[in-house]
Formats: sequence, C-alpha cells, structure tokens
Amino acid sequence: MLSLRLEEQISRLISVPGARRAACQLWKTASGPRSFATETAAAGSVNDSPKAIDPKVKVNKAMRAYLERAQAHNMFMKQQTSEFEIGRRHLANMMGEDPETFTQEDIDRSIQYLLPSNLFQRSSRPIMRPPEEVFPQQKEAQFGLDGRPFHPLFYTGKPNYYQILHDIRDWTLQLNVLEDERVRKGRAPPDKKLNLSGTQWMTKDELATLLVEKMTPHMYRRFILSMERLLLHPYVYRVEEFVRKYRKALIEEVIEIQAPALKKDEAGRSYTEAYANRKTCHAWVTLKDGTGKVDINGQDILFFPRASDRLQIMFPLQLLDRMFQFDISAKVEYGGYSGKSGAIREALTKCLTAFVSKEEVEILRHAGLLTHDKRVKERKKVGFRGARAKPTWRKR
Amino acid sequence: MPSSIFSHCRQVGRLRKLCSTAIRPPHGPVSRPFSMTAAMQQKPQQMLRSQRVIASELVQKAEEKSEPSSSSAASTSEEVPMELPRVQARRTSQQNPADHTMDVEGFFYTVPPAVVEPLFGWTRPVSNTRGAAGATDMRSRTLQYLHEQGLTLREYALMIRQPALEVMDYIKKSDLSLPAVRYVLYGRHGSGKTASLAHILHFFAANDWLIVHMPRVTYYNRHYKEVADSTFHPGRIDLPVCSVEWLQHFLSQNSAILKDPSRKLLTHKTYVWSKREETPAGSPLLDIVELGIKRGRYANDAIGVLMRELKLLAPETGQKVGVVVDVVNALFSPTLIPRVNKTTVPAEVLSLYCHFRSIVRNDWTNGAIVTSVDRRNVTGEVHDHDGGGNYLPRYLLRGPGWEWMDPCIPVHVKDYQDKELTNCLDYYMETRWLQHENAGTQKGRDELKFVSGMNPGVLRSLVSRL
Repeated sequence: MLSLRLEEQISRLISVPGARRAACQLWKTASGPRSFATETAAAGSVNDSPKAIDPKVKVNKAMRAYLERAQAHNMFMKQQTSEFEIGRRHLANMMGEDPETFTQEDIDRSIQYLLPSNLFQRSSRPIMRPPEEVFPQQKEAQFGLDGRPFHPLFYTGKPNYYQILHDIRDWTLQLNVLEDERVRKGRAPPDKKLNLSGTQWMTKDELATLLVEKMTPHMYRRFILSMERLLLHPYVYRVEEFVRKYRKALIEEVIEIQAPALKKDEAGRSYTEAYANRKTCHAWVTLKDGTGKVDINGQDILFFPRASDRLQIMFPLQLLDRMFQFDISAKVEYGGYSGKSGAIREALTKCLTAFVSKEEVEILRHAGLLTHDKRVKERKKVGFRGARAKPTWRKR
Repeated sequence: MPSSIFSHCRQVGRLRKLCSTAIRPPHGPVSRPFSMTAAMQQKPQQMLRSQRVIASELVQKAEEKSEPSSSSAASTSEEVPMELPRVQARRTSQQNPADHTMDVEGFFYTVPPAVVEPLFGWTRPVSNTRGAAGATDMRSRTLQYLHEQGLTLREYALMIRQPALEVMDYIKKSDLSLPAVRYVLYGRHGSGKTASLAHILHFFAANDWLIVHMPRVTYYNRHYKEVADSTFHPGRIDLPVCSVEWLQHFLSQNSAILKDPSRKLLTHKTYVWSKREETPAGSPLLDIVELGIKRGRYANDAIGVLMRELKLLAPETGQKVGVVVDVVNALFSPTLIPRVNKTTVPAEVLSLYCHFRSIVRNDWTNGAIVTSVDRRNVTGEVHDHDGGGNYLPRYLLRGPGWEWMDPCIPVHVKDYQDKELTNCLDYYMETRWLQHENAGTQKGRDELKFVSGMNPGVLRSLVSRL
C-alpha cells in the first residue's frame, strides 16, 4: 500500500516521462547502448510544480530539500512570469499599441526607444525578456524519494557526459561483434559509408547545454576523440542516428553582394567606383581596364613606404590572377598607412566584383576581402597608460 | 572528417595508422604519409578483431625494423626537391663604358676587379664599413650596396641604363674646348642615380680622364670628424681629416695620371703654406696632393689649390677632367656641423664645399661635370611642405644653387622598364642572390614588380630577404 502511494506521489511530483522511466528502469549492463535522448531532455528543467509533501509520507531528507527548492523556484518563476506579462501589456499601452499583439520584437524595439543606451557591451544594455530566458534553468531531481540516485553514473558527477562515453564504447563492441560475424561468413566489407558532410560536431557549449552539465575543454576533446574513433569503424553507418545526435548542420550563408555599376568613360573603357573606410580612413577608388597603373593621391604604389601595405593592395588582384589588367586610382584621406591600405583594399575589391564572375566573387568573399574590417582603436582609459596597459605598480 | 585532430594524439594516431593502412584501406585522406612494408600494402588481409591485436603488434614491430629502409621511400614521396630554374642574365662583355650603346641597354657589364678598388675606394672589408671606424670613412660610400654584393658574388656588375648612356653620349659628342657642360641627374630615391654616376665614373677612368669625385656630399652632415678654423681664409671652416681622406681618394683614383711626368701637370705659381713650407711654381700636382695628405692642417687649402690648378691645367695640357659630384644640392644647403655659438655651419662657410662649388662652376674648359640631386639627408627647407616627392633639380637646388648651376642639362633617372626589371631579376637568380622558389614563376615576378613599384632600390631591398 505504502509503496503504491509512494509511486503515485512520485508520479505526481515528477511527471517527466524520462525521469520516471529512469527511476523504474534497471541499469542494463553491456546489453547495448540505451537510448538516453529522453533522459537528457528530461534533465532539462523543472516543468511541473511539485505540490506540498504530505508530512506523513516518509521522504528522504535530500529529496525533501530538493522538492522545497523546486517549489520555491516555481513560485518565483510564476510570479516573474505574471510580472512580465503585466509589464508587457503596460509597455504596449505606453507605446500606444495593442497589448494582445505586442510581441517580443516590439518589446525590444520599445526598450531601445525608451531607454537608449550607447554602452559598448550589448549584454549591459537594458533588456526586457521572459523570465525563462533571464533566469537559468535548474536540473531535474537526480534521485528518488528513498535517496537513491536514478542514474548509475550519478556519483561521477557528470552522469550524462559519461553516459555518452559508455555508449560509444558499447556501440563499438557491438559493431566489432557484427564485423567478426561478417568476416566469419566471408562477406566483403560494406560499401556503405556514413556521409556527414554539411554537418559538424556540436561545440563545447552546445554539448554542455544539451547535457546540462559543465564541460571542460579536456572533456570535450575526449568526447570528440572518442566519436572520431567510432567513425573509423567500417560499420559505423549502422549507428548513424546516434552519431547525428551530436552533429549540427552547417548553415550556409547566402549573402548577395551588390556590385557597383559598371560605367564607360569617354575612351570606351569600363570602370567602377567604390568607397570604403577602415579605422579613421576613407578611400574612394576607381578601377579601370588598363595595364596596372597605380595612382594613390597622385603618387604610385610607393605612396606606401611599407611593403606590407603594398601587398594589401595587390592581394585581391593577385588572388584572381588579374594583376596588371586594371588601372587603380585612389583618393585616401585621414588615418595612417595601414588604415589607408586597408580601406583601399576593400574599395578595390568592391570595384573588382563588377568585373569578375560570380565564382570569382565567391573566392573573394571566402578570402575575407569583402568583409568590412570594423576594428577600431580602443579608447584610452583614465588612470591607465593606454587602453589596457596599467601604470607600473610600486610598493610604497 | 577533420583529420588534424589526430595529429595531436600519439596513441590514436598510431591506431589510425594501423587501421587505415595495414588492415583496411583508408577511409579518407591520411594526414601524414605512412611507410609500410611492401607485402603488407599489397595484400590487405581480413582478420578477426581478436587476431588484429596481435597483428597490430606484429606490424608495429615490422615498422620499427623497417624504419631505416622505409624512410628513404617516405622522403621521396614527401619532399619535393626545390629546383630553381637556371636562368642567364643578359650581359655584355664590353668592359669599356665608352663602347656601350643603346643596343646593350638593360644588360649587365662587369667592372674589372682591378679597377674597382682604386676607383670606388672600397678598401676595407664590409664588416668594418658597418662599424664606427669604417662607416665614417668616405671612401667606402660609393655605391656601398654594390660593394657588399660584390663581396658575396665575387663580381661587380652594373646595369647599363639609359641615363648613363645618354650622359656618356653627350660627353663623347660635346666640344670640350667650350666651357664644361654640367649634367644633373635627378630622380626619386632608389631610381639609380648613384649607380649611373658609378657607370659614368668608370667611363672617365677607362678613357683616361682625370677624375674629381665627391661620393656623397651629405656625408659631412654627420661625419665631420674634426673641425678647425681656416688659417688661409679667416671666417671659413676647415675639415682637415675629411679633406685628407678625400685627397687619398683622389690620389687612388688618379695615381697613374698624376705620377706620369709626360702629362706635365705642373703648378702655375708658388704656394706658401707657412714660413718654412712652400711649393714652388712648376712642381708636379702630385706634390700638392701629397703635401695635403701629409699635413692635414693644409689639406683643405691643398684641395683649393688642386681645384684652381686643374681648371687651369685642363685646357693647357689637354688632360680631360671629369667631375662627379653626388648630391650636389647639399653644397648649397646648410650643414649640421655645430659651431661654438650653437648655430650650424652654413654651406658657404665650409671651405671644402667652397672648393667643390668652384669646380662645378662652368668657368673652365676641357672637362665635364656630372652631378646628381637628391632629397635624402639634405638639410634646410627642402623637406617642408613639398607634398612628399618633388625631386626636380630646380626645386632641390633652391635659389642660390640653381643660380650657381644654371645652365645645366637635367637627365631624368627613371625607374626600371619591364625588360630591365626582368634582367635584374634574372641576374639575381643567376647569382643566387634571389633564392625564393617562386622567383622563377610569372606570379612571383609579377608580385615583385607590383610591390617594388619598379623602383630599383626598393626591389633590391625586397629581394635581399628572399
């Protein structure tokens, strides 16, 4: 009777399917890797509100403390949510918009309008976001009412992480058995291969979020090494699902590059003009069909005393094998030599896009030549020697 | 599949090696070439996992054994032998600059080693010229890079270029009975003015001209060594040590002519140096030079006498006199030599400059005056608000200098043409001065062409690191 009541209570308190199953399931030793996707998902957050515990029921102290903590958290979150909702509606009224259709984008926009901030750090600027995003999620209960942990690897401190390592090992053993069987039967090795192109391993942070466990670089490296080793197995295609769980699709960036208009001069030579800036420098470049003449503020390429700056200007043309096919004329203002050369390079590349094919533009983009270099000098701080440098410390 | 991860881990790397090459064919590109015994590579066997552990150990042992023999095989596949293409720079065997014509423009010619030392004054090893002692010796500063290059390459090759050919052509064609013609080479820094002067200097030396050569006037701004008040001309300032050095340089360049009695280079009047010392009229010019070298106190005055006598002797004896002055505009701009009252010595007070000013004047005949103007290290107003690159003679000589030098024939020393650049790079490659693996490719040469801006000096400094 008691046990039944306990079961009920547990089911009521922790109504996450994975957790309950984990509680009921026994640890299967080496009988093949268990699917723990639900478990890791279950470890996500406290979704349900645990009700007050019946004082008659014998509950482990740790469990009781957890339940109290969870209850307090849920209460807090509930209050925050309601406050956020009121705030949202109030903000909508302030902005003279309909509170029913006032979305998060509208909130962001309104906050930016009402509380404009020029703080450099984005995270330091004022925000108004749902409490789920603001307050960190808490981990699900790891043990039952009797105080026994659900997970056999609980005492490693990182059960979900070590579970993956165990699974890799288990899969490897299973695949080895399979391979041996095939060899015994005289079958040829499989032609199938696991095609993982277009995907990459989850990053350390992504994996840490998935597992709700802290991850050190060493742990992540170990994970990657083990996974890569599994990938070497000829029958790895059989565990594709398992492998793909930890891979993320590479997002293909499609950026339309606006080439400047191609014009014709009086002699019928086509040319383009573009503007770019870098640091405090501004450059206006005209690129014309020609023989490689360079004119920078009325001087030739030796306008730049350093070879590195001259190389900057040469690079886009050299990359496309189009040196000495264009005449460059540039007007540059302000800044130093490296700023000037960087600005000219960017403007020159923009000009060049009008002359070349799409594939070549893609080459330029991949080389980072069409990316604006937005770095600027960091300001000097009061009391410091420079932006970061401190004055020499002296013992009094 | 990123393979570079494996390069860090020794154990996994070994496993990967075994898995990929010994037992089964590799799945992807192997990061490092891996040598394996031939038998193993020919027959990839299929084994059970349990057997493989033993097999892998065996393979490992085989690897260890076969390491010396297999390393050669690995090296052949891995290392690409660097092969620079053999190129021959275009040269001419005509060693007399008088024979050079526009046909051999852009070619190299070799200055005979016997001429090099007395003519250019490279008397000291290069290590000394960099140091304090050698660097302050004016004899080591005629085209010093060529000296350094010559020590490495064991030859002194100069490129035959249009400005020098033009000047030599003018000199050959000019009527020397008329007042001496002045040529002013101008061009931007590194374009080859001094190299052209060196070529012309060799032209004078090879054709029996008496040479009055001032390597680089701006040198005295810094290396003035010793300063003394002039005894002969009160108010003027002498540089005794520097003057002795210059006289030595003059003697080494012209010793054959000065020591030849048939030339009849004799003084016109008696020069009284002090109560006891005097040079009587009719004594050889060599005596003046030697006296100046021996008695540093009179070296400056000896130079003055020399200039005066040469102006007279050139038309009388028929001995042609070639004057070569590098950075002539420094003769008209203030020096950096300090005086007691914390001012600097103006050019017109320095007696050495006065003597050279007098020889670049065109009030004498049977000679030629070849000069150059430059911006570098010239003091005065030259650098102020000039937009960064004006190298024209009228601008650099300023008012007094231009008045002094007018009329003159300006000769523009331009940067390299395409064929000159190609030949220069060929020469650098031939002599292994340039050893970069891309030096022979069109792409590499294009890069050098673009980055150097076709400027000889910039090209040399770029190539010196490749």
